[in-house]
Amino acid sequence: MSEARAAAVVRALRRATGYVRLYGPRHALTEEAVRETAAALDGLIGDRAGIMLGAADDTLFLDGHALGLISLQFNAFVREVLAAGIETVIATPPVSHADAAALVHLIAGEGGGPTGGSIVVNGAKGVAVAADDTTPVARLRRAYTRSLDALRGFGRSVVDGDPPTLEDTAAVVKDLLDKSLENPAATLLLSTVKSHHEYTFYHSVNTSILSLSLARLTGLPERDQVVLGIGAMLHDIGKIGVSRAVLQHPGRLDADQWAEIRRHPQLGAEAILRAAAPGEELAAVVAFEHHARFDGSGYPRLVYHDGTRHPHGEGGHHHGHGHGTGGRHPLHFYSRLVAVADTYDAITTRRSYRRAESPSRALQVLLAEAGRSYDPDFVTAFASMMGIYPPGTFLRLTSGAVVMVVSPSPDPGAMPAAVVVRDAAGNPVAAPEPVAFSARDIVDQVGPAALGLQPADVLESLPAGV
Amino acid sequence: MPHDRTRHDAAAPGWGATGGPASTEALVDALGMAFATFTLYDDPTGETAFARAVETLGRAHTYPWRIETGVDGFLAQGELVAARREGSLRVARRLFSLGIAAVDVVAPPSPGDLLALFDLLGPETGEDEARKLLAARGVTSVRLLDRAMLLGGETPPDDDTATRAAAIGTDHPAAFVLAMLSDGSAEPADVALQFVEEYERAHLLVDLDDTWGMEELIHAFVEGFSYLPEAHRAAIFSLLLQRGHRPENTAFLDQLSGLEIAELDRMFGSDGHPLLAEYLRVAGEEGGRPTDRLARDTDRSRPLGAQIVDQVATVLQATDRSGRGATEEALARIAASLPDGGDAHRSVANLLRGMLKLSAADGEMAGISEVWASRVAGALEAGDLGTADDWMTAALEPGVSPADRRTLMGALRAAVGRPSLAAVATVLAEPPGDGAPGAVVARAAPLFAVDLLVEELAAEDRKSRRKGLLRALQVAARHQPAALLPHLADERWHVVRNAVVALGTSRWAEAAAALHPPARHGDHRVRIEALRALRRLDDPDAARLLVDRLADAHPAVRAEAGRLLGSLGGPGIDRSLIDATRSPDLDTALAATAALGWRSTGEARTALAALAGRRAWFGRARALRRAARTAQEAHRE
Repeated sequence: MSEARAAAVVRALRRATGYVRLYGPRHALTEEAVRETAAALDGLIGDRAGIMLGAADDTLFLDGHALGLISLQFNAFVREVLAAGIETVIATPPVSHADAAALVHLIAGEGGGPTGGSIVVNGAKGVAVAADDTTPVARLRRAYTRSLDALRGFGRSVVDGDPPTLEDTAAVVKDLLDKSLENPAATLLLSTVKSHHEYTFYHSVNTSILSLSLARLTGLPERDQVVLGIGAMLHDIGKIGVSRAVLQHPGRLDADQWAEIRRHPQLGAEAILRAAAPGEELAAVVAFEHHARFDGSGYPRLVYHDGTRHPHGEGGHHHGHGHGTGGRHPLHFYSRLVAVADTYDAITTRRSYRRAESPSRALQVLLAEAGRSYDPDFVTAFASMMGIYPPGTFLRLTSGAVVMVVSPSPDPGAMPAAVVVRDAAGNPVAAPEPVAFSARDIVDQVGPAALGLQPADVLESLPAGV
Repeated sequence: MPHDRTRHDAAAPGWGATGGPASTEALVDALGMAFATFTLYDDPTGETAFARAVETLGRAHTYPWRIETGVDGFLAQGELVAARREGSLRVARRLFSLGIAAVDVVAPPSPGDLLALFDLLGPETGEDEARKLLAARGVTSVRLLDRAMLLGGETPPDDDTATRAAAIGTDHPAAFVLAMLSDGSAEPADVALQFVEEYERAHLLVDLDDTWGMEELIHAFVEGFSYLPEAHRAAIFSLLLQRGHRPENTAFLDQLSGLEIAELDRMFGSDGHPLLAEYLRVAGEEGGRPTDRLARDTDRSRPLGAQIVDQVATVLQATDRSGRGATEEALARIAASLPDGGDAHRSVANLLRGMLKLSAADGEMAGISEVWASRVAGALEAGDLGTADDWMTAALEPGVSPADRRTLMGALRAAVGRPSLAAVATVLAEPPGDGAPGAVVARAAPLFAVDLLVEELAAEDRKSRRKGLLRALQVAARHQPAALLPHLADERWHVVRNAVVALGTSRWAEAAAALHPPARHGDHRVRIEALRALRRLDDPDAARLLVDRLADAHPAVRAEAGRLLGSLGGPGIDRSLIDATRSPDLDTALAATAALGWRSTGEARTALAALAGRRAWFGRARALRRAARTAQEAHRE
């Protein structure tokens, strides 16, 4: 039954796309076809919360299940969709006419895509925002979405072999920097957005946001912050180029392909160097070193030293862990900073082979590995920035209510700022209000999955000034 | 209507290889040919085309071999197989629509096997039925793999247990776990036994050498584990510890974090699980996992989450003896290590150095060479000689092998455009002092710029610029004169001329032999420069060549040869010239006479005087007397 409904959606989309090209976007026939498309999508969704249509390798997928016959029947249209750069379409009910129209226009090459939220192209719902929304949170979400687009664009250039530039990436990093200055707490909350299907892109943007926040705390000059932010955003870009080739390989990986995977730091650094304008070259060092450890282990084996001496000196102790490098470490300042942000976001994200950990647990891992995998000073600074309950942490109180941390407390001994998201009876709170509580009031942390709520979803309903 | 396989199998001929191994394209074509015959004839096995197809399918290079299905046909190793037969495309598409992702041919298929396969491609077969139907018909030479199986493991399973294990390779471990809980008893002990046995059985299906597949399998089961209720997880944990002698079970436990193990351990009372300490000891000794003290040294009376928070808070609130907070200290140390803007060059150079070494070690110089070359060329074009020097230094370091350096310079040669070359020419023509911007570029220029300068010189019309370029070429040639040799055979006379000029100033004695052919070049301008170059290089054969050129067809060459002979030392030159004045060719004789004028020896002057004083009224003798008198006048002291 789903397949028949999926076929109805594809037929409607194909018809509507054809009408846009033949008659233009505002013709009566086009409008009618768009209405049918929206209705077909609603029919496919049924009573579910939403569906995801995906396209890859000339095949259409519905919620991860390949639609073989439909892919064959509508092969030309599937290729059109892919040519328009569309890889996933997430639809949630009710599908709006405007979003359906925007999707059709996008496929027809006539528009920028839906922004209403009922249809999201190549992304998770968490970053969808209406085009005419000018609130600070909306501007922040748009900055996030533009970052994803810039990253996808750069990734496409790398894969297609087109000469890339860092212009777009630099622009979005500057934008994120400005936004994080305007509203640091909201920016940190937005960095909790995750995507399972586009893990690398979302992870890269989140790492960049966290790195920029930490960089500002360290006093790094703004110009260097931009280069560092570019490096953080592109640190995994080599993997994008490698992953496609590996993912398209149908069988087991041979030794050459494994070697290719291990070269992705090098490949990423090369891609960035190729694209970097003068002054931006150091962004490549983050990509090159992002699998190298603070104590010199990891890969690639760094065979150069610039003679920089670590401020701790030889035999220094920090958090009970000695340094393995005798006071000399090969990692660049940028790499040591980004490594902390990179790990924090990775640990708090669910992967196919590992569940997501809580923010506190992520801090614990960082602290446990401080001095070995990570620079202990950056770990301390990061932990201080995030607080004992980092933004986005959900806490159940003795009253039964669930609160969400929205910003860390400046005093490490004090409780962070939080809002109520579930009342004592467990019901969702439409307009979260700030709440004060003490450590004694906390029963436990609650995972987002258990609540069915993501931190970034609460952004728009936060009271002003929080 | 299905064909009678039994009858056809009995009539099947022997399937030995009758020719060389068939290529993948040939195998796919054969499949297409067999299918086409199947659709056309009631009894395709009686058809030559079918028999030929079967014979070809029996000649694969190795078995098993695999092809995947796609909308455009069959693929091998991700690449579309260029098949000529439409039948191949139809088979591929039909299998694709049936949810079959790949076909494994594990042995030469019999005609009956092929017929059974083609029977399934009809409209009666539903999606996801083809694989089982083929197996049910007893076909063993061909196996069909659906998409889930392709992702889950190499060997297609034959029973449901393996099917479920293969299904774990998809991204739905929760679905697998839920199915397990709903299949039968949901008691923790029963679920644990089922889970661990599934895991151990799935483990057997993966090749020991298939690291990727092994990782995927373990991770998928760990993911499924995380979806189970606490009691079930504890039961599995206990069973894994009991079966800890199996390496796959310890590998599973190794995936769990210290916190997770601590949480599970607490479910076994105040002393924890009796086998856990042993596992941790062995794991620590074997280096399989670090001993996570933070998780083990926990107060069992408090929730672990709370203890983690306390640990973080303790770190953040720590102060030193002076009362300075840990954060304050850390930030102060970070501030002291902030990168200096002036260090950026050095850091980039360091990075490049590291990337070059790594690429050289991996034997993958192409990418980094291109990047390096584009940055150097860009810096030169922008006039940023300091940056160009920094990048160039990395390529000149002793650690870079000569072969790798050649690769780098080759890439630079390709990347340098006219503006960049202009900068190179400038530093060559006016070399900066040691340590000044451009000094390294000047030092390295001979390694990449000679050919470029030759071409640029050839293309340059402006005399003023040519002078500078020629000077740059001469400087470069002093260090890499051999790079000019190929240009001596260029079709363009001016290219040859420029190369000759540069070689002449290179002081490279070995160049002399290479300059002999240009001394006989078709263009007189080249011949003139070749003679001059040979004279500069003190070629032992220069005298002979110069005397030969006295007979050159062009007067300028004759004159120049004579002039050069004037300063040439060595025995016999005067005698050669005097003999040449008696040449039957008047031009040669005149040139020799003029050459005598350049000589300062007594013999030459005497001969010249004799020629000048000869009584002659007409023709040759008169011309020679005039030439002699002109030479005397021109060189009178």
